[in-house]
Amino acid sequence: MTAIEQPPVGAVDPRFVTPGDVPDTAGRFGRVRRGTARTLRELWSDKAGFLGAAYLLLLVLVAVLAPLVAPHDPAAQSLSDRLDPPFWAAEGSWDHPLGTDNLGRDVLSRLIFGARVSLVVGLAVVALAGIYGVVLGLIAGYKGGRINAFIMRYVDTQLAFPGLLLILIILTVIGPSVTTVIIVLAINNWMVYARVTQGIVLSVKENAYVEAAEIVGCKSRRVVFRHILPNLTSPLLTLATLEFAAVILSEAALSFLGVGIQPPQTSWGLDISIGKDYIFNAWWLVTFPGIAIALTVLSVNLVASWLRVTADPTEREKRFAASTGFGA
Amino acid sequence: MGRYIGKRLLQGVVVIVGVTIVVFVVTRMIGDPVRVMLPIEATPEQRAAFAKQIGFDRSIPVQFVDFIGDLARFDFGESLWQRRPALDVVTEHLPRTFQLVGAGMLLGVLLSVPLGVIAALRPGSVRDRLTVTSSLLGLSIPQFWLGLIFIVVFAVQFKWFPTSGTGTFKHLVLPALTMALPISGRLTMMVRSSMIDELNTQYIRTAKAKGLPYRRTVGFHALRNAAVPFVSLAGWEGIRALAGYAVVIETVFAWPGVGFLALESIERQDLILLQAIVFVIAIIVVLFNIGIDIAYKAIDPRIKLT
Amino acid sequence: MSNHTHRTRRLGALLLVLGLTAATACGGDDDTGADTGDTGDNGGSGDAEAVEGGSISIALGSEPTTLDPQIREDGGERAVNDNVYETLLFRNKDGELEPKLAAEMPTQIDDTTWEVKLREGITFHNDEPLNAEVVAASFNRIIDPEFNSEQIGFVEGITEIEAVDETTVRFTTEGPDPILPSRLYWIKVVPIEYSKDSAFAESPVGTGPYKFVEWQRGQELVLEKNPDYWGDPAPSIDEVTYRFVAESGTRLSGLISGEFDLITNLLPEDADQAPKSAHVQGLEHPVMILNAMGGPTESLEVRQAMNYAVDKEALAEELYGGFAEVDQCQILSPTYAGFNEEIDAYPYDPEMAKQMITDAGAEGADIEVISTAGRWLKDREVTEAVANYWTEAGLTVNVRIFEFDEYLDRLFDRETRAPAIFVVSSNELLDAARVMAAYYAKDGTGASNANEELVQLIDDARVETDAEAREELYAQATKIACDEAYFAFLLNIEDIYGLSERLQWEPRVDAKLIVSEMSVTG
Repeated sequence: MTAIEQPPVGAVDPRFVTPGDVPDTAGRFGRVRRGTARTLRELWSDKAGFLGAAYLLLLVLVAVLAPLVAPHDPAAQSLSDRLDPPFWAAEGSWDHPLGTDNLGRDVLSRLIFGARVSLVVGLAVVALAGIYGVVLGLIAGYKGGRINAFIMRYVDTQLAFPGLLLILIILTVIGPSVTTVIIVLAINNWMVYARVTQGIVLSVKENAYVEAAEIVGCKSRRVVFRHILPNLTSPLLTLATLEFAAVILSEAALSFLGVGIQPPQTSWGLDISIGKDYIFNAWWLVTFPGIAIALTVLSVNLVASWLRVTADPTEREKRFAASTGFGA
Repeated sequence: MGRYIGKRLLQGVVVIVGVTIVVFVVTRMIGDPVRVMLPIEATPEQRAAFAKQIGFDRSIPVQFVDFIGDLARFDFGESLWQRRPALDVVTEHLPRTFQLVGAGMLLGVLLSVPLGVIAALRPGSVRDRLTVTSSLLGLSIPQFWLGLIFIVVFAVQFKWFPTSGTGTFKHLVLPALTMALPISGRLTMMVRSSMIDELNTQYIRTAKAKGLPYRRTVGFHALRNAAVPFVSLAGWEGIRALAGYAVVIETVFAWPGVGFLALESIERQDLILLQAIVFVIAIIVVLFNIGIDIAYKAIDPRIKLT
Repeated sequence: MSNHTHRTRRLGALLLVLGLTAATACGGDDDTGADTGDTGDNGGSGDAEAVEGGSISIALGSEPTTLDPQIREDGGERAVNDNVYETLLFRNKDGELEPKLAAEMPTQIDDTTWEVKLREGITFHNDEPLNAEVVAASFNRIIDPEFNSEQIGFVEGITEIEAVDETTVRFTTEGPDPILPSRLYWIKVVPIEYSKDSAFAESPVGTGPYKFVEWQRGQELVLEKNPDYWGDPAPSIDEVTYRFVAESGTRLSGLISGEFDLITNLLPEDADQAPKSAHVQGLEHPVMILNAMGGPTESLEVRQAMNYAVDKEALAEELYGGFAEVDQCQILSPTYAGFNEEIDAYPYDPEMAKQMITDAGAEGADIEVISTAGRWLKDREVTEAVANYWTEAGLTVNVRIFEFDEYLDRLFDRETRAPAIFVVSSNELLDAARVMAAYYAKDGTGASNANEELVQLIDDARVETDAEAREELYAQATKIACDEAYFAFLLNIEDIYGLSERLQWEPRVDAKLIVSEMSVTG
């Protein structure tokens, strides 16, 4: 019934996130009304978001249960089974449903374990970058004045760094691995959280409601917790989800270039990199990891869009308005 | 405005210096270009001679002082790999990356604006959903993968385009398309969303003002209001493309631009060339940022730049 | 129509298209790459007659950084300049040295002096004459330390070069240098006057069968036939265009789509995909250096067991698609001077290997294997496969893949030698001397043994100018290393090239791409 309306927040130039961009959800409509049943119903009404969430849930399950679900050890080589095609092809078999790679490793198992890596890296980067960025944003927004200016200047400076290039260099120096990839991606990603948080804090601070509270005598900490934080959850959640998608793509690109996850660990990007040399006689090596990445990122984006619309009452109104055909 | 530019330039200088220092420190830690550049079977004497030749036998602080001095004169030294002035190598490759990013951005913008507007005119319709779906797909597909698929399908199978390299317009098509797709995906979504917002407000107002021509109201004001975030996002995408995606696409298509150069110098441990590349890119990014700010202000003078 | 089904349908359609195109992308191409024998290829579409002339396009893995043939160690530059410049001596089909710019093979006057007579009447492409002065100057240019040539290692030991008369050049070496002729095969002769011109590195001028036309950096480099070429046979192909593609998959794409006529380093798995392929025994030897000085590999039985444990035939078959030969207990190709025909490879005997390990009390011993990935063809695959075999023999193997830089650290570490280090040795001079010095001699950069007798033999051979005596010394050296199992000898990889249907060419054992040896059928 609905369509996805908002551009990914993470894609907006973070330098220009002004207080006006952030939905003013303070006050009565401030808290997203939790209630699993209600959330689920909301989700169902946005079929795309639902599909996305379902796929992600499945992915998480598969990733967590990987050792049980995967038919083989993803690092197990078998020189005699090299480059076997998927099961529906002439020389394929159900033993290796999606075929094997150049060392005889099972593609399906590598896909499953690769999901682990993608999810772990994504979550870890979002957590690290998010915490760092949000804390800085809170400080900047709440303290205001000089500290705010200083922190924002720091944000701007790092924003101007040529991201991927530096990542490449740093990873080459310290040696790529899951940990170093996470750290480097986090260092490169925290700025947008700081910007958004600062923006929200500033706008909430200006809200008369907060002023009133302060006049009445509420302690500042109370102000923070009661008024600012609730306004942070939904936009940050949406932002985090979108950034999660971006991180998955970044990690895949890094592994593809050879400076990300290293063998014998699996990563979708790494598998594509290995497979590209065999693209003509073993197309499955490249196709399946690529589809996996695309589907995962797509699902995350769908869920993020749903989140954004659902969490913001004004947006929900728009969704409703659009669906009733008032659009010209 | 002038003061603003001045301030930003100053900030830019800080950034560039910071970046270069980071790269210097980091690259000196990479280790030994000497060893990597000579064949394995070279003798220790040959290695010592080579090290002396390229100045890597001096201590790090000495190297750093020399480095800063050279930097001030824009002397980046000689690329270890190509034995030519590093800056020459970079400036030779730079136009090709500009070509690629420029074509990709142009394509992205040309695609996204009409698509976004058309979709926004009828939210919820079939063509709207088509646009949204394809945009989402476009920005979800990993570019390197897309590039590979394009090569296999359009260059090898159909032979419409060459598989790699640069030179003619035909060489540019596939790489530019690969670059443009995710960019246009995001831009389309943003255009669509902004236009929907604009149209909703305009609609209400127009409905009240009887008989005002729809096109003129919508066309002019809505687009102009939507242009501001659009320019900011497009600029952001451009920067990310230049300092990021270009590397990936140049690798896949053997496009001899700066991204490709960066990867090669990392592989060959050509630290000098690497420094030059990062420096030049940092300058471009800074200038580009400032340019966006100015464009932003030009479009909508109401914007207050901090 | 609900949003849900619509979107799913579109996704499904897209996947189908992708899958279909991917499936049809392969297998729809010619499968005429049936190769027979070592140095030949077999275009399945019948042997058409070669015609005179034609233009071809060659895809190299890297672009030359300069076209000065004396300053860099650059495969891209060599690929081009091997056609523009020439050397005093040259190798024939079987890898034997023959005179080229020299009129006859060099003669040795005494222990440290050699003389070379030149052919007469040869000029460079810019009409500068070729004479003894020019040749002497060419060599002096390289040995000049101020010039900073990366090729200086190839001419180490040559102290003086002078022109005795118009056509005679005299070389003086530091000590007896039996491989001087090989050095003469490597160094190209340059026009001394023009070499001082700043355009020299961008616009080469030599004596060879092809002349330089233009070089658009990043794009292409073009050579054309030299109609006044002095030599025999005259070049056939009119024009050759070099393009630079780093990715092997992209090179193959270009070959299949008809953009290229020749690509190098074709992966064994892709040999079927190329319209035609050709292969020849190459110069690369993947091998494991075993530590004879300490650790579990100090025991001779363990090292020998590690040789018996590996099924080298299977490695050649499985990993290299058959495009590799088993090394005969030495890191030398049969074309190298110093190759020992008497010794044979350790056969594959897993039972014996297991037995020997147990007898030596080394069951479960920790074997750390140092290797790198992405530097050489299938480096990681070979390492892991061999490690697998060793595990089956009863050892506990720990494979450690390092970044090339760190890997070099471990390879050159003289203090602590790892039990096993993987390396791919290659030798452009086709002579045992370098390999011996680097890996066999106990103080070599990559050696893991302390055998005095061995290093003595090697040192003696270095200065032994009598060819037969030298062969004898190397024979002894290789036998010792074989019996002592200082290495887990593996394979000699073949060079595989992808050719278009119309190109006719037999690859060389020294891996040079000589266009005057190529022709097209139309």
